Amino acid sequence: MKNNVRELRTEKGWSQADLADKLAVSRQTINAIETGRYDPSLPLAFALAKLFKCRVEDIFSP
Amino acid sequence: MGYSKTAQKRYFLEVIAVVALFVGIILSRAQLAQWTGSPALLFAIKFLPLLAMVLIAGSVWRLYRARDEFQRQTMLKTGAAAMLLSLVLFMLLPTLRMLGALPLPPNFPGALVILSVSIVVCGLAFSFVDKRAEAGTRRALIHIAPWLLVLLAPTVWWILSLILPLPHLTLRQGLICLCVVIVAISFYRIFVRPTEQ
Repeated sequence: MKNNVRELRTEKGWSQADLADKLAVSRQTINAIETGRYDPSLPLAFALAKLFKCRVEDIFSP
Repeated sequence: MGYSKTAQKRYFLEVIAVVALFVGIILSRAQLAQWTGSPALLFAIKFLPLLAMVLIAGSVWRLYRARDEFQRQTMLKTGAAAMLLSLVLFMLLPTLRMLGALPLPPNFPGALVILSVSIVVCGLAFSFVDKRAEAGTRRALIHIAPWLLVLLAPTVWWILSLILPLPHLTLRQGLICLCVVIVAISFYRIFVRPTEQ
């Protein structure tokens, strides 16, 4: 699954560690999502969407 | 329990405490058995090392509960792969022994070594792959170097002992060496590289 988490994060000027702190996950998890090595669970995907103020399908695409 | 940044530090502190307890039990078990005459106590003393195993299992469970979803998935993948590898090795071991291809001493603790080696090998493999994707091969090699040493040092010793007249380590000596290395790695992960958590 493709995602644009990295683009959204850099737009906000956050580091991976900043985003990880906001979502209460590890920096490794953010890195794994950004590099496409890990597809997050629905709760985490919705938390990302809420944080970036957009819909889940705006972040993730098949 | 949710994700906690300090979970791994706490885990390694617990590992150090359990290892200290385990070494204490190993070193004092014979004396304790001599001092007591009660058959019930003698029976309990035999099972004292199991206490350390139960405490470690509790620590691993607490670590699992305090990890986030990606880290939990990695722990589960490592555990599953280790069980699969140990199953294969358990099936291979009698065949290799029968063929005389594995010159191990008769009192060699095969089950303990196979389980430990499987967990370390699979943990190293997943850790290396994840770290390489994140930070490159060089950083990944540095990341796994301490555990790689734990795996390679006894293997090299064993291979050399087949060629050279080196003394065989007893299980007790081997366990104490392993405990020293685990404590060293725990200190390293708590104080030197705590950011990799």
